[in-house]
Amino acid sequence: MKAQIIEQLGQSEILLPSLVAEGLAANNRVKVRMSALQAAAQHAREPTQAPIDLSAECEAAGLGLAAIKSVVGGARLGANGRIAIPELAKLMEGVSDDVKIMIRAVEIGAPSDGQAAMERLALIEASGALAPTEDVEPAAIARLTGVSATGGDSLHRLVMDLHKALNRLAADCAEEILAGAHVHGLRDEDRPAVEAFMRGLARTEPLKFGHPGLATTAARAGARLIIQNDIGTTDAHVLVLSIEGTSVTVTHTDVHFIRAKFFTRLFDKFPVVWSGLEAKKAEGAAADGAFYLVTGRLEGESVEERDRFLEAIGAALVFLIDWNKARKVLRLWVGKADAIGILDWAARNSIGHRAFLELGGAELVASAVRHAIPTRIGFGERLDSSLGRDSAVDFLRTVLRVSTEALLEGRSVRLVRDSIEADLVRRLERVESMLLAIVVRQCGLAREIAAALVANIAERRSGRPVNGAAMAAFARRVEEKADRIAIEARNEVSRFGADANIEELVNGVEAAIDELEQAAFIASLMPAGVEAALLRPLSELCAAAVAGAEAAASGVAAAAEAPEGRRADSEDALAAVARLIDVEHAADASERSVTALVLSGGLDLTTALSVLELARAIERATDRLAGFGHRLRQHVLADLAA
Amino acid sequence: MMQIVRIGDGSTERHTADHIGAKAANLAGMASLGLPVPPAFVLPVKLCAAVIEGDPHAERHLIDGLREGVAFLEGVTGKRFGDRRAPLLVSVRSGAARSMPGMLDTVLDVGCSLAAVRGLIRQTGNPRFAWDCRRRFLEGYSSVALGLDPAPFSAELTRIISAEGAENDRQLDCEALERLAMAYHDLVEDDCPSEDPEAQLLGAARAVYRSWMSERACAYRRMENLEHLRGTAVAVQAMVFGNRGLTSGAGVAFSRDPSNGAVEPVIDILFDAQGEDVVSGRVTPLTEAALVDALPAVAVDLRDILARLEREYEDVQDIEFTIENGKLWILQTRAAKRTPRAALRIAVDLVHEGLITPHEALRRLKCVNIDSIVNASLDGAGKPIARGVAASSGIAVGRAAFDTAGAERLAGAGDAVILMRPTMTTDDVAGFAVAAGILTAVGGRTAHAALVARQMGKPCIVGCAINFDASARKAQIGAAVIQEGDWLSIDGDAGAVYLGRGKIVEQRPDDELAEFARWRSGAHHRAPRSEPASNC
Repeated sequence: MKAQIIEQLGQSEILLPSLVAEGLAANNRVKVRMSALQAAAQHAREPTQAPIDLSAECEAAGLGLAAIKSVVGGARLGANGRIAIPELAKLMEGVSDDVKIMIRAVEIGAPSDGQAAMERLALIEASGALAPTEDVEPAAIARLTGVSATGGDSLHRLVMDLHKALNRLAADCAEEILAGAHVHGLRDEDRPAVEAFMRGLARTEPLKFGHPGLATTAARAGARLIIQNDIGTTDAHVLVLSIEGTSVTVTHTDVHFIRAKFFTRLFDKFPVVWSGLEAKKAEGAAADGAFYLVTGRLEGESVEERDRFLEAIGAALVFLIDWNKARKVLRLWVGKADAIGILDWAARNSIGHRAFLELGGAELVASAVRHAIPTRIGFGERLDSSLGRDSAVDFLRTVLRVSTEALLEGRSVRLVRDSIEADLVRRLERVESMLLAIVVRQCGLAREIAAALVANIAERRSGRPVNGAAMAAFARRVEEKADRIAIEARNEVSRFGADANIEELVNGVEAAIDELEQAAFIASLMPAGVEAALLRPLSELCAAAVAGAEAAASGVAAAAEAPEGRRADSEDALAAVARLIDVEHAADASERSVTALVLSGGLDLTTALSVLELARAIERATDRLAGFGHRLRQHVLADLAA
Repeated sequence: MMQIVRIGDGSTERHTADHIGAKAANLAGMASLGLPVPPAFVLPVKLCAAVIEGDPHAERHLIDGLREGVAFLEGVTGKRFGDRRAPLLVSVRSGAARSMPGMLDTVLDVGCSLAAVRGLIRQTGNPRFAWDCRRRFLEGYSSVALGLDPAPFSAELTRIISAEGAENDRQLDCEALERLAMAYHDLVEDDCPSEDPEAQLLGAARAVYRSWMSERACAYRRMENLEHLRGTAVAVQAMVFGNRGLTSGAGVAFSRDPSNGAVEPVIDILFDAQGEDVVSGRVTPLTEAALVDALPAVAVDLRDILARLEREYEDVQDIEFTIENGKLWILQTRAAKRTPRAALRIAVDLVHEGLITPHEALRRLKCVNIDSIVNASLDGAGKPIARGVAASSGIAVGRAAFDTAGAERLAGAGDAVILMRPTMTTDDVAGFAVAAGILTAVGGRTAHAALVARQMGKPCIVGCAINFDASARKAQIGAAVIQEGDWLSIDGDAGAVYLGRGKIVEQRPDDELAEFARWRSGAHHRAPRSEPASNC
């Protein structure tokens, strides 16, 4: 292989591998220098903000930190609107030298490419963009470091093209192929690291399903071993690993900031220090540039740990391909955060999203919805609003998993579609969990009114002024809201043909809320100065209503887990039912003591009536909650029998 | 190897502030006295130093330390971090060897994933509480750990409060809080580790370290000559919840009255609330009487603990506490800030009680301007038109002003001014400075207005029912209508507001001053001990 290339290039180009390695190192440096220019512009614009910290990047590229720091930190906006940057001339010279080193390697390996690059550089230099001046226009920095979509040339675009050419050359002039990577100039001790990276890569590479990319080159450059991967096909999306002893520096450039963050999250079990992830820094970069530079550093404790990390990186790269495309598709069905959460999960479970996209992506899910449940999920409706959030997320995970398994095992697309539809239908049958979440919400609202009653009676007992009208108005608002929720819940129950018992649960809490609202209304009319002996059992009653609403909520929350949960879940639900019955007994007793006190005489009519009515209304509410408890028990027992 | 420090494992070992930060050392001290302190673990200061110096092993120590500490907290609480059945939530607090108030970051309710919300509902039956924790977590975590702009979050909060017809977030019901939490969830967007408790914890700890190096913290250390400090500790503490319902609450208590030194605890409490609600001043807290009513056993415990802490630390204490479901927890104790008048009385009382020596009393009074101390009272003011919460002692008589501009105008004309505000914001500071006395509609003794007024030594009453009519430049207190420029008299000790121009009668606390003079003459016979002037 090597011999062929030498033949092709002529004797003098035997130095090519080392030139390529130097070119790749220059590529790392020039990116840091361009980032420093962006950071300097940013700092000049907002001098009160702490300047962006590029220390990790400098370290990775082998650049002196102090110089870069003074470039960024010393940048000032001049009165003429230009940005004065310390040692700007030297920085520009460095940029120019780096690019020339890159071109020199390309020139020898691919003379015509090198020629073209030289001409492009000449044009850029002729425009004065790299002139050794003391200050520069902000727009010039943007032109230099940006990559415009309309195709105009820029220094950054030239650097990216050169980088690609260098990668090609590196592959072509490789001395050998090691575990699938094109390598040259390796020392013996470099091999395990390259092999570890490639082991990870090979493990997940099948998940790219025909997408181009993931080519790896590795070379020794001075004290460092450099491993590069071209990931997908986007120009600005590259991964460079620089390895020295047991420490690894990852440099990842990406056009999507959130994808870069996603990538770093996949290594959260390793003690990696990342930089470039701060939202502020990203905004600064996004202002002029077209890529984000994220750097991570692992100080491995041992070669084993270093290699585990390299393997994990290798295995993660396939999940970057088409990541944003997949995210946008998932966003049609669930919330933004959940869409990313699903991709996270798929990567962590070695499933990925490429198979899903390959099999149709959005269309795959849409057709399942159309076939399985056309009447139940409206056009354009998100799955999380119809299935419930958890179930929707779980369904989409299943879609990704089934797609991957099917393509790996060569199953037919028909089978994939059938199994996705079947899963969706099954989920609709289990839509109960979502309906139970509505019941929990209702129980919470019942508790709100009961708690307001407790507070009202407590204030009366302590002689503080009470605002009964505000409490009654609050209770009315809560009751109206609970009504709306109940109507919605009943609609959902019929839409999904869910267990009728759930509708009974909905009705049970609604009835309790009605009684509590009535109690709040009466309490608001109760005269001031009701004696303490009467207030005591009343406050016990209100506390019982709170305890009842809490037991109901807690029981339903446990029951919602029960179908797929552990025995503890149904046991907890049944224990809550028992508490509901106890609460009802306690409320009964308190109501009786109120009645006895009132009937023992001596009270004026308004006090007597309001106290009695209040006690009755609360007692009825706890009755309803006990009835609710019986329904809940039936529901849990039916689940256990199923 | 870095060792985490455990608090609440039954150990009585004391730790220095240099090692684990002042706040954590304080917690460990209370725990070693057997006081009810929520269990915690601390990553020592030196880890922060290592992180900042770029020690290659710091990151690993951080991850290992957090993991080990969480396992300890899970063991003592019987809960599991982020669990869907019995979730453990923690607070992640900063704390340097010397206090740097408000400079470093803290994240509360860490571990509150959506699964944990389900667990909280299941444990408490209180969806309001569970969603409240979730939204508080997202509010804090998004701004501190993720560096997101808080504006969209507060816009969402304002939108929901107004849509619900509520006045503030405390009036939102559980359904509205759930919607608020889900809206926050979408705002956090690309940072789904909000669902992974371990990632949350790591993110929060890193944020605390970042805050150490923030511009404001560095500037503060330069200003306060604290540049020798090596870093902040990170204390991770099991959350205790004052927002769990009506038998829960949070508050602040002083072992004696910090405004006049009276030997009675001063207790501010809000039921169904977290600590930050009490100090925010947005709502008026209740007093000890309300606590005695609602939870008499807790009220007794609290008094005992205040007395105990005062004895242990030999000074008046200012504590933060939380009550969760009828169980009292102490979160912090420190020597109370006090007015000059209170300082004198407290010093005299503590000497009488045998807690401190006259020598020590003199040392503590070194920075107090003894000559300025007077007890003022109001004469001929008639009956008060309203009562509020006495927040800073003293008497003031002046003309009513409704904003800073009005206060400056009246003061410019040579009259004393009583500044009346709905609540205090930073815009009001200039008005405070020119006012003789301050009156606000909401807030408790620990509200910003009260703190600032005490600092400035100005009489202040908070939580006084005032209805402002800004357009007509008038206000209503009780039945009285007050126009700008009307004379008012306020008694910052009784919390009483009077119409008209009362007469201020001043009296010097002669007995206490005599005692002070005796100590001083006695001290002449001793060798004087030099104290650094920076203690003032």
